[in-house]
Amino acid sequence: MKKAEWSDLPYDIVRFIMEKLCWSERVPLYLVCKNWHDRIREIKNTKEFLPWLMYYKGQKGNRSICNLGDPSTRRIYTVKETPTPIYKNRDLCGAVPCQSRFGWVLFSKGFDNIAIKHLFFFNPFTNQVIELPKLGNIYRSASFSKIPTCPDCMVIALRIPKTGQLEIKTWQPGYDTWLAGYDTRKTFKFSGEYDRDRTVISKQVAYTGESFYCIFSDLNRNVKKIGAFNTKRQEWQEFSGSIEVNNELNFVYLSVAINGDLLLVAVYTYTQGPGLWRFDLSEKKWVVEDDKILEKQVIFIDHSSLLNPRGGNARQSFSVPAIGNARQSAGKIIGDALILHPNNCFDVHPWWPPQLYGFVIEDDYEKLQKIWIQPPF
Amino acid sequence: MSTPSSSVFSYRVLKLKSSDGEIFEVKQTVAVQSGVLKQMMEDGCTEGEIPLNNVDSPTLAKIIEWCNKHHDDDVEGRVLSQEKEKEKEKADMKRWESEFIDALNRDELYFLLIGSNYMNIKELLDCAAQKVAGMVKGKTPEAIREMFNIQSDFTEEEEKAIRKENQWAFN
Repeated sequence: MKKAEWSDLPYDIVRFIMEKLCWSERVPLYLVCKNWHDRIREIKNTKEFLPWLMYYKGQKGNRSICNLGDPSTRRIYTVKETPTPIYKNRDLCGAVPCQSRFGWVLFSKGFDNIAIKHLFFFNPFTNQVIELPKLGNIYRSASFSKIPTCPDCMVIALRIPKTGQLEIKTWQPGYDTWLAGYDTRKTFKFSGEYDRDRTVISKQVAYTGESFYCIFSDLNRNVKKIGAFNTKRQEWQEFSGSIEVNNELNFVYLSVAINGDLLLVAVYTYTQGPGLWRFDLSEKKWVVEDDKILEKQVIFIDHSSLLNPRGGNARQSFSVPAIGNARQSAGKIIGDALILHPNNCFDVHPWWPPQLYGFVIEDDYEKLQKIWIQPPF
Repeated sequence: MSTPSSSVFSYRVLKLKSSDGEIFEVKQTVAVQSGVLKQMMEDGCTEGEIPLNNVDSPTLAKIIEWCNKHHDDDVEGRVLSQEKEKEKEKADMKRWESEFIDALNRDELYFLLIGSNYMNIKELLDCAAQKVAGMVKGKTPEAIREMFNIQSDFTEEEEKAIRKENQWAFN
């Protein structure tokens, strides 16, 4: 018999073998040889749709920057250091996650957990940091559209300088200032209320089809309306029609459904099921959602705010298709310490939903900063 | 696995010639598991010896052993067995498959991968690939290189860059 030459194994076979492994098991094998590295990078994800969990301690003096929990292997990975210090600090101390997409997290720094004074990007999977220019004012909400290394990515920051006005600042990669055409900020007529809780633009921003859609409260706190900032035309538009959420203690989450429409989840207290609406983008109107669309997806919400509303954790939400490793969770709304079922019942867990994220066990769990993050594959 | 056309050549035999010149006779109903041989049968070009230039005789013997175990031409005549029996059959087959694969040494496994890929025998390739995946899972790149006698072709800088860019995976 001839001698086996494993380093000459045909490309197709190497790729086929690597496809048997989870992404987090494959990446360490980049280093075996160039053939393996290149084949691994060719693999398209068809199995892993559950987001990872990124978490870190908010206090100073941590030995690591953050941890990443992978639901496929039920393992926790640690990011110990970055090539450049993150935002003039050694770690993520004091930084609050705003939103995550494509492996990137937009972080804010401010004097408390809600005020946004500075923004920066950090990608724990590639160890890249992108700093943004100073904002100048205190903003209440920030979001981004695409991978922040891509030139047409846009970051927006929102604030309400006074009743009836909405101010939007935008930034794009490569610029060292915030931009908005002729001015560095744009102000629009706005029908939302200036809220003592400062949550009037409730951090609920979702990007789809050139526009950032934002949920805001009408004069009545329980009435939610939707508006959109078109990134190409740089215009703010409010849509007629509103929905009423039925409790003082509500938190709303806006996400893009897998059919492309917007989904709004209202989370009440622990004793009630979630409220669910869809904003039909072609008809521009609200529809009370039935389970049909939900069955095809799993909605993730960053939900620590319910346990600790001032904790300032991200209030983002996104949908993943209910296929691959997310299939078993079809129709569920998954957040910190709870799973919402579409049939109006709640599972409350002291930790993350045990069957999915129960492997993440940490001291001072409630004090950790956490955000769902989708790896860049 | 049997196709409507396969019954036509049920009892005919193919002559497979390994790269080192040995002839193996295989029933067509068995050979149909190979995508390549199935295509040749459908095209009617299986007369005489079929040269398999990428498969040596020890490997071809293994491949035929696998195919004989998996071929199902007697299934159709059999009365449909009970669910329980089917489950048991499936479990027995799984056990046989893992014993078959586990008994191979690394060279044999390598040539089986090449051979099953060349002959397009999906289930066998799948099983062999799963075996290799299990062997490399959780191992360091150094350990894998040693196991398979692979030389690193990265420069020191390239290796450093990969470690830096994917630091989470190397801690």
